Amino acid sequence: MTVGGSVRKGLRGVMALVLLAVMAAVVFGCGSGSKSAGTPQVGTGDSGKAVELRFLFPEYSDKTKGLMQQVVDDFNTENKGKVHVTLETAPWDKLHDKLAVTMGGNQAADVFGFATRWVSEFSELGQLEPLDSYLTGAFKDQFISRLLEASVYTPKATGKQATFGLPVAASARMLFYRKDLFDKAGLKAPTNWDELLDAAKKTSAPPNVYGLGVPASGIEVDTFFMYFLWNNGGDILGPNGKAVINNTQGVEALDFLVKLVNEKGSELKPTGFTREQIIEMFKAGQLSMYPTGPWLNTMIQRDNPKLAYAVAPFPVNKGKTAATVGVTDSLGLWAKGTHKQEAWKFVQFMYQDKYRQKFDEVEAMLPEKKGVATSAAFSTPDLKPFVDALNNAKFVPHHPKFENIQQIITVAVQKALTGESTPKQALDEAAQKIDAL
Amino acid sequence: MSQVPAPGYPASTGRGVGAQLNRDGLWAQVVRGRLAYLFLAPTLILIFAVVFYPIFNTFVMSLSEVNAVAQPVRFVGLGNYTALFRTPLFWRVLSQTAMWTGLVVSITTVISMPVALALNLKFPGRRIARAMLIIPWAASLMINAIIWRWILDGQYSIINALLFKLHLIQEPIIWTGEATVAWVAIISVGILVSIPFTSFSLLAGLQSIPAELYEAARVDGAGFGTAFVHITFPLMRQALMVTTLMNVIYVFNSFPIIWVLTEGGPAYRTDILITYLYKEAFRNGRFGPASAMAVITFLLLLAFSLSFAKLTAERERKGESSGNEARG
Repeated sequence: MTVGGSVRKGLRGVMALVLLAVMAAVVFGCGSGSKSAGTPQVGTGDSGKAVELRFLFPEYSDKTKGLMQQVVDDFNTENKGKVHVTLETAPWDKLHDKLAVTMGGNQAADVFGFATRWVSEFSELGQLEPLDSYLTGAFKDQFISRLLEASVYTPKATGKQATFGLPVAASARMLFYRKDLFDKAGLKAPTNWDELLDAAKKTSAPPNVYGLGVPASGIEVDTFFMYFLWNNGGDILGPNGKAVINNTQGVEALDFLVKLVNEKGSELKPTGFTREQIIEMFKAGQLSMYPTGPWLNTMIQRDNPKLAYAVAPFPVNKGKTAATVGVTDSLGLWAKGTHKQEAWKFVQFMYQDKYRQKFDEVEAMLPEKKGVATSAAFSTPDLKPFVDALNNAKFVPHHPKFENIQQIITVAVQKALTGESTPKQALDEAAQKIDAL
Repeated sequence: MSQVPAPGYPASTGRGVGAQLNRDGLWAQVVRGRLAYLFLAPTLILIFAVVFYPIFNTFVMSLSEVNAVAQPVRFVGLGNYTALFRTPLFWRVLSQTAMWTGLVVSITTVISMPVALALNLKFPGRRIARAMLIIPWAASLMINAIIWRWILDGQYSIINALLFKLHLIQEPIIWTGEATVAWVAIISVGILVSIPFTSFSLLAGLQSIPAELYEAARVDGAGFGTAFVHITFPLMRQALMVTTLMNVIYVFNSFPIIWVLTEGGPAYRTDILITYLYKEAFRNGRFGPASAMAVITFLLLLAFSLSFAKLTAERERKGESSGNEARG
């Protein structure tokens, strides 16, 4: 018994020591780990004293990571020993949370991609670096100026207007329509809403083919409504920042959408369909029309290359000015980063035409640089209409709580489509909620 | 914790501890148990870091005005709660949650009981039948939900194709297009994914009933029905209670099914507290009210669990005394 006891005692001592050692390693390991993220590392081989930068970029496709890694590697080779960039990627649906949480925790990446509609939210919180002092003449002139304006905002917190991001991906939304079905019905691409409604009904042959694809569940329901709202002269916010979505133009736009759905110009019960489902249906040839961005070209070529389709501007209501729904994503600098000069150096490096050309082509994005826009790749019949459409592109307004506005508009569209409210009631309620934000 | 030391421990010190321990103060016991605490320390630190600290933080946030990047800005007391209670939408979502939890748990239990009884019978292929019931449970709830979204898809769904072939419908049923149909779909999926766990818990309960009781009952001339009412059901009460309690907690907080199938749409008609809370926090950036809802969920489930446990304990006591009377 005593022998056993002493052996066990010894064993316990050893185990306690091991445990202590492990815990110490964990604690000190964490300490040094978190330190190395922010401060330059000293004496670690080749990268000795190099400034460490973190670059967070959204995943547009499974190719994004490779494309960006190439840029980062080239930059790291050229700046060996001086600056070292580490690439992190995040899926789009996680990006907002990731940015918000890392900014809140004071650990955001030095350079990051983000959706331009988040400019107001993040700049009001002082997390986005104003880029105007960095954006010098020659570098600035390379951009299509309309796109550069997309991230200009005046935060209420400072009252100073500034450019808070560079366009890093641009898209314009156009109407994809089935050439074969339209030919068979003796129709041309619709240019106004009467033609749109007529075409939607005439090309529909349920349950095999429906007219216009209407995604009214999940994300982008609000964007879909903008095709109608903006092509009827309506808008979300007026010049004074108050909601005008419920004015005559707004109500007329939602009335028309509801009418189109009720008269079976779309798939049945759109509130049961997400954007992803609608895209699948269009690719499979079960919809005659669907407005979206140039990436659908790529998807069709990959999944159903035999589909006969063409692209046209989204129809405008008679007597109104046409507007193309434009969306940009931006690249920004973290205002609280410690190495902003080096970060800007990296930004300039990655905006070389060769990298942007490759990115835009592979990801099926529209060019944000003039040099890329005039290249052969963007002069094809599939893409030229999109590049041209950037000239009347309209972007969603900047609002620090734009995510809430999206949700509010989504609910209004859903209420009108399910008949829970009339379009007027739904939009009045939405306007009231937007103004209360 | 009782004052009795852990078995094995005093023997290993080689001292006659039994009486001595009772005289020692708490600190002495802590010191003596230091090795145990040392072993527990990593787990305790981890639990505090990933469980208690976030819970504490949620409480703090629920009492604060919180900005869009989840930083508390200033203390507002119960402001988030009163604002929530004044929102009709919150009450609607709460009643939707109650309906969802109540229907899924009750129907699941009613279906699982015969399933468990069947699996407890001896028949060829019983092992395969049991294994087949486990498989859907082994897949993650998220995967299950995504599969169901395509089964219920408005255009491609297998169900619609079948109904078409049988000439039961003229146009596809859009399962997630309006609230009533969507609820039928969501609740059915909820029931189907809850059946494996429930059946297995009940099966475990059934297996703990001694076979002699049934033999004795058979000798006394009791049929299946009588045996079920007088033996199976009373002895299963414990298992039923525990299973129901766990199901209520799981289902009340079940996020994937509703999120994947409808995202709570159209227009919040199929939201439950947890999906609405997620939307408020991560779509709308309203972390304050969302935290308040999380706290309310926590308190509701805590209250439910406590009253449920109390109810069970009382029943148990009554059951025991009546048993004694019968024996006497």
